[in-house]
Amino acid sequence: MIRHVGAIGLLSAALGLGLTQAPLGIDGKIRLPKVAIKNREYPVMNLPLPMREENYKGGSCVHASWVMLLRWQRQYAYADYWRKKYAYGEYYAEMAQRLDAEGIKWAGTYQDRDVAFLEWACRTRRGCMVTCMNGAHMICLIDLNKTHATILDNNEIGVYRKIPRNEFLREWYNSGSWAMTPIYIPAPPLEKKA
Amino acid sequence: MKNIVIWTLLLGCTAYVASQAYQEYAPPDFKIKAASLRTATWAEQAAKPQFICGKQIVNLPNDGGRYYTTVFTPAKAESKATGWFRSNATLVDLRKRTHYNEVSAADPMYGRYKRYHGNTGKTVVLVQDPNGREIYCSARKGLPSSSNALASAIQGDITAKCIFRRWRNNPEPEPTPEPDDEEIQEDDDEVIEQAEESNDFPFLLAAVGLAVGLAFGGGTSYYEQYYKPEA
Repeated sequence: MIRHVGAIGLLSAALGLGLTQAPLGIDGKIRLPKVAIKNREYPVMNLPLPMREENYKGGSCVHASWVMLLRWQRQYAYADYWRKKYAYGEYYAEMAQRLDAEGIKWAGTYQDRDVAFLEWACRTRRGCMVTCMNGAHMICLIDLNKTHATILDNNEIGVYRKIPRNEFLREWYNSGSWAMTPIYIPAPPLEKKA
Repeated sequence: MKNIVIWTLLLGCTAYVASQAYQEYAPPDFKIKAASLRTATWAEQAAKPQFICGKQIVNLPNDGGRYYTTVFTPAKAESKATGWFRSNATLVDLRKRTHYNEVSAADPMYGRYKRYHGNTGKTVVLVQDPNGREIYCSARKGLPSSSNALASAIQGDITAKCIFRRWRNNPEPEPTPEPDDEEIQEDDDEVIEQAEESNDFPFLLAAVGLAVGLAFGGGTSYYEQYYKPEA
């Protein structure tokens, strides 16, 4: 009797121990279960205030936005370098040339109305810069969902502005639908408080 | 009676090992999005300056579902833990499969993560799921003494917080998502991730259920055979 009860107890203990203090996977790798994406930090690109870059030299919105994106993806050396070297107005082709020349990994879209690019940038928590005001200004898109877009304007770095998605996309379409982002590792998220 | 115990043990272990094996065969979480996003090289633009939007198709990393591994260090110098993530095979693999960051006290982002490292001046290892939920944080119990112990501790917390939590069918009330935080689920890859999530659990449930059921059945038959008073 004691032997049988002991065997069952041992089995339960072994199963419990195996499931809670599970050894590594069969090939010695840590198992990472798939997780549904929900309840993330808002906005997905939540750059601390001291790290935001205000528009400088009277009109460097593209470069200020780019510097913020580089900082969010923790490319501080590139960000400082870019801030010192580049200023004033910019065009897509010129910007692409500079990025290639500097060896920065980037992706972008222009005049394609490619909303999938914006969604990708926000889904991967990288954010991106987007044109507005008929192409006269560049801002950071820091969150995009089914109903709203959230932007960080380098002329007003202290606040996040939330805009209805359709209104935002209309503005972007009318501004040449230029969007760009570096491709590095985004800063770790904060757990959203309940 | 002895047979029941042996079979329980064998079936339970088999189901558990099968569930482990299945997870290892799950596709990697780093998926390449099929060609849909475009960028242009300068050469293309120079050749066609009037059509600036180039048509070079690039593959962008669809890595929004990756976990995050972060090592907070008090100084800029490399700590013991950062070295482990370059020398221990299990931790190197974890580093490659997650978004890995090293954040020193000199990093301007350091203050943002105060809730995890607490400005204690100690090295802290943090593992988060893709939503930012804390899965493992060494600040609670202290950094393990060896790289293997750290790997085991991380795996233990992942199992406890991700697998058991789902097993209990999320008893902790989830905060109601605000409209802002609704994730866009239009992408096929995201749908696949949802499906995979639902597939990796029933094996464990089966293993535990099988073991509990057989143990109960064995116990009952044992009782009936040896202890049940005769009518």
